[in-house]
Amino acid sequence: MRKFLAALMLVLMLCTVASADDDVIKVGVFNCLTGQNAFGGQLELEGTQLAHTLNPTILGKKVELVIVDNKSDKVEAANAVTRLIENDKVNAIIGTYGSSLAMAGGEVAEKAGIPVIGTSCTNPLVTDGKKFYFRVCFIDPFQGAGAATYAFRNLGLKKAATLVDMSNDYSVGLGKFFRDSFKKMGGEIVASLFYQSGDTDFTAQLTALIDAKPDIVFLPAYFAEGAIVLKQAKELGAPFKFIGADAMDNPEIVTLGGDAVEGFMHTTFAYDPSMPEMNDVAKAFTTEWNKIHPDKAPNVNCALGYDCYIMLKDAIERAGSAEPAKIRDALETTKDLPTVTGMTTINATHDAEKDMGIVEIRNGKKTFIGIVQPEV
Amino acid sequence: MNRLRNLILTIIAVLLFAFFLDKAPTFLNGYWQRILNLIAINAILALSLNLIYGITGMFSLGHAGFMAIGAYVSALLVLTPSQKNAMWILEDIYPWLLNVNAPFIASIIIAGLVAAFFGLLVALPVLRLGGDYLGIATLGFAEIIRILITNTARLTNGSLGLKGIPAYTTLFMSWGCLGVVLLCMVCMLRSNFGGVLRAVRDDEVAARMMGINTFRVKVLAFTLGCFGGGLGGALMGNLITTIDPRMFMITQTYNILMIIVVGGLGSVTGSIIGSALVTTMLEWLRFVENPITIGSINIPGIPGMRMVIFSLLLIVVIIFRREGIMGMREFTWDIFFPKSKAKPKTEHSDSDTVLEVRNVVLKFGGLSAIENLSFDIKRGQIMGLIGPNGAGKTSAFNVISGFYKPTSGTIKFMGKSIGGMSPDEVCREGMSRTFQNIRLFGHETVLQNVMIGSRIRQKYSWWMTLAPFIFTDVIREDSAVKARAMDLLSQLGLAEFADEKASSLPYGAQRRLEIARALATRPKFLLLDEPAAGMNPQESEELLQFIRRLRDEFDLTILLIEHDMKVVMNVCDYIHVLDQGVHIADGTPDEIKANPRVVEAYLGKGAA
Amino acid sequence: MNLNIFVQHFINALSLGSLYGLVAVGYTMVYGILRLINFAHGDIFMLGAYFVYFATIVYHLPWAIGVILAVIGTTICGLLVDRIAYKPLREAPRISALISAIGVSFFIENFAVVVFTGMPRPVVQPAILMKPIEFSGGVRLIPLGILVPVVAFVLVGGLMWLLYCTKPGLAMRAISFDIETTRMMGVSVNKIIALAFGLGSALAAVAGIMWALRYPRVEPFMGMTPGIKAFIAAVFGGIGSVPGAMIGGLILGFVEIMSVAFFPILSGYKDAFAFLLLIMILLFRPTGLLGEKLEDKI
Repeated sequence: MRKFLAALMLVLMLCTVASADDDVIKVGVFNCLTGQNAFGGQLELEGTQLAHTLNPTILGKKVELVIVDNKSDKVEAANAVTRLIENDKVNAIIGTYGSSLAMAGGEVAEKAGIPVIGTSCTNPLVTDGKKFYFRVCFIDPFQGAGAATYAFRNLGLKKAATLVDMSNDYSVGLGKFFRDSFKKMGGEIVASLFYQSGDTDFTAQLTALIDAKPDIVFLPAYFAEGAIVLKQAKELGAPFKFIGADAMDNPEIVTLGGDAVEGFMHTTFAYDPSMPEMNDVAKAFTTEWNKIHPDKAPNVNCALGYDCYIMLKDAIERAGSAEPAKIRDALETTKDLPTVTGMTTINATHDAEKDMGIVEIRNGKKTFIGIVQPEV
Repeated sequence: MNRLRNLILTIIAVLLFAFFLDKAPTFLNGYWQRILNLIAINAILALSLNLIYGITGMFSLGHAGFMAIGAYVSALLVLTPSQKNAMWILEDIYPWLLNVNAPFIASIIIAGLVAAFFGLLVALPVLRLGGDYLGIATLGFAEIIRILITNTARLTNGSLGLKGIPAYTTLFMSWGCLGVVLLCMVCMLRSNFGGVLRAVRDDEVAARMMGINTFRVKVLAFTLGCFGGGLGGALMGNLITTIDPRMFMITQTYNILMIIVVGGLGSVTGSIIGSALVTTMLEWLRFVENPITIGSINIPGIPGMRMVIFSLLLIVVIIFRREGIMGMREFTWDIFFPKSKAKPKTEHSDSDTVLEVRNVVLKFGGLSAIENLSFDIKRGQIMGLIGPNGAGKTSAFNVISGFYKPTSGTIKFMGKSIGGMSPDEVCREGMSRTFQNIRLFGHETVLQNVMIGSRIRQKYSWWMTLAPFIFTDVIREDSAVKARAMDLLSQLGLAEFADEKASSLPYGAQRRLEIARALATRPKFLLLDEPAAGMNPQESEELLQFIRRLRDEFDLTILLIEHDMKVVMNVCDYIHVLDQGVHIADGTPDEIKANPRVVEAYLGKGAA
Repeated sequence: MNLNIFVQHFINALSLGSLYGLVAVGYTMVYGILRLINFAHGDIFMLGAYFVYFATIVYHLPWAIGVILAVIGTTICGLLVDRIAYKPLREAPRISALISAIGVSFFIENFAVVVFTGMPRPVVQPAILMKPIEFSGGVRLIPLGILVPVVAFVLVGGLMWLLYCTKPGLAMRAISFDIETTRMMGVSVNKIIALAFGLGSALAAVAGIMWALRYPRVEPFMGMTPGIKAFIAAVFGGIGSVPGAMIGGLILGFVEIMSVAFFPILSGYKDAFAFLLLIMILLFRPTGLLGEKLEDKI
């Protein structure tokens, strides 16, 4: 019996090895569909899937999305990318939420020579020294500086503090770049406090912040934690303003935070359903999204997931081929490509150069205020 | 003959596997190679945790922490200065760290050593804790390690982690490391020292009475396990090529724990099978998340289903096969082949008084278990200690054999004060005992039980057992000990049971085995705690003969507690009577029989 | 730090600590009886929070009914977990049940991801509980901040009454002392264990609801960190002891809040302080603050 089961298992395993097909362009998507970061990965996947539904063929060939989960786990991320490349023989890969996962997967793709487009992995190290990793997002230093510029120049605030998730590379990075930039412009950092991912009680940090009397607190948190921070700040009667970053960009923040998020600002990519002027790509995205998901507004993660596919499509069309090496070369020369999150140009370090937007919550609605030019 | 056959078969199997690994890249794609690598690394991690938990019985939830240490040490050693310069973008790296460099092989060994060092630091304070508390304390340490790594950005780059670690972990590297770990571990577990480790797990009290410093053994096993954890972590880092503190959360430890329990707690073979099974299972189950087409029915993939099914499978396996796949058994070549089937000298002491107990008082809180007990035992005597229930007889034994420290008073053994010595030290002085409720190492064979008793009379050190082919003392001494153990077993009429599990013996034989094990420590003085308990009249008659024979053949002095008056009166030269912790009488058996106070103590006032 | 700020920290700590305590009591109940570290407790807690979310937000039921339904639902889940995953393993080595618990924990978390998706969901807090009361000097307190410790203490008090003044409580204590002998006494051991599980799960549900009120969002992994933390709290207090768990929870809450309050620069090490204290307590009192010493009979 046991032997039979073992044999059966072996047969089933062999069955899962996929066959290659020339007429199909295979695009792998590895993202965190389960695990701690599932909320982000699921949104990005929806964006990518939407783009695929709208553009099912490239160069006249059918595009097949191969989706694998990385469980928000590094080992799994590396396995997932290896599987996409070796078993599914994908031409290019899209992913992922979470820079550390992107790094783990990126090493594998780099060796195999398969181009990857990162969705929202904003850590500078993701593409650093990599020939095959690109991304549609800008990077942490740029955004940290953007928030600082807006706070210091536009709002005219002189005393700032940071509240950072110590165990999150994104949060730590942004916090550091915000402080550096804010000080460089002549501002003062009055406190710098930390918490850990998974914490839900921030009253100690907030009370300490109230004691330090800053004008504004930079909160580079994920939206789920950020909303709770804002709520508790309101409960404690914190007198200062908060500014966050793109990870706070989610329509849920209003439902989670209620009236506590009123007046909260954050930097983000230059896309929001509330934008007065949208380019054509953004318009198409918003309309289609609303058709499929009438009950929820798109957020920036969906847009980035969408943009990855658009950028890949553009590169394949310009390369005139779905060969990984050619896609890579074409991706490198992406310039002024209209995407949902504005004009995208890939720079020398494979990061996207695009506009940075500022959003404020006004009357319980995310409101796009404008574009900010960070003083890096 | 069988040994030679097995050795040849093992070498052939290893060569075949090496050939398979060598050719693997030609027929296995990178994905399967990666899984093979992961199996080896998980097996190393599982083996090391199994050494700590399955074999030595220490519940540790801290493995992820030691993996983290190993992974970071190795990564920091193999990264080049220019890579490090580029990576520390938030804070500056310590200048001394920038140029620290080591080749890969050295780096993983150093990684293991550093992890072992931290393991030792953790073990020294926490291993005094037992059971679940130990689990929590080790979990706490693992978390502290992770928090420290997150916060010391100048050393570890904090939560940004390290990337671009060269992918040195090739198939040969991971399986080679596993091979070395496996070889060392199997050799160690097969030696008598391995028996000692299992003895500590099965019955720590009895192990101490066998002269084993159980704390030291536990620290040792824990440290060795941490070495394995560090090694595995280092290999993992060099396989994934990027690490960060969040990789090493408690779930990582859960995964390893899962592997060893599914494979079989305490089984080396089980750990390897378990890691192969769990690793492939997790990857293979990915198909449930992909869209499946069966005929015309199209089932869309559901993200997350894989882990749901995996966890269900885990629960099912545990419920229906709780001992895991291998249980405690090991793979041997013998399963493929059908089975085919001197008097020891003890040292003479010149002292005539073997034991001298003077004014011993033992108190628990306010309650006194023994009050002012004094007696002597002369060499070659068989002394009885009797009294009604609660008289303090076993307490007296525990004080003499070092389990309790006397509140006051002195105990001298062969002229040397032993009051306050620990049981293992007392044992090394030449005293041994049995227990009222038999305490055998139930999972070990009869022969192994006796051999463990001889461990303190062996000279080789534990580390020699890692490579017995170099330190042949191990093999020589172990075979000597084995011969002597067989000898003891045949003298006690247990030879036929030698390869049976101790717990499967009939009751009387278990009693005799406990005595055989005690004799293996080469005692001069033996304490027997109710040897006749649970025996029928005929068995206790045999016991009488047996105790006398023991004294004569092994040149022993014996102190025994017994309720069976027939045994006591017939075998003892002299008797002491306790009642409620107080010494009430002593004398020859005939004097005791006639003593009204003794009768009163047993039957209550008025009976006399 | 001035006095007002300190008082504010103190109030924060009390609120957090009593929540930890409430979760810890559930751990300790099950442990006391079965000697099983119920790693799935944090996930049962998560289910409690989700049930209340569904009842109040999705089906728009009034709060009181939602809470009752959530407690009942969670208790049923807890009983099912016991029946399916733990009961077959009563006679097995404890590690088997522990691994089964880890399996259950993985299962509930991933099942929640599949069914509820990974997106955090908002929980609406009743406005009456949220209206801040302002004291002189800027110290602020919301009614919820008082409600949480009050509920925690009332429940723990009730539990103590049940354990020490009723027959099932006596049976429970007897089981934790010696399961075999209790069976001999004609006590239906399985029923009592199920009762303990039910109570533990109901407490987890209440804690989950309180947690969801205090930190108003639910997500599939919300039980992980509180689970581990509460477990530490239970060990602090001496695992198996109900008042110990509550005290442990309060200590943990105070350590976490006060370490940030007094050493804001070291706020990244907050959890390390808690673990360090845990290990210290264990070293000096190896069975926790109120734990009973189990003698190994020789």
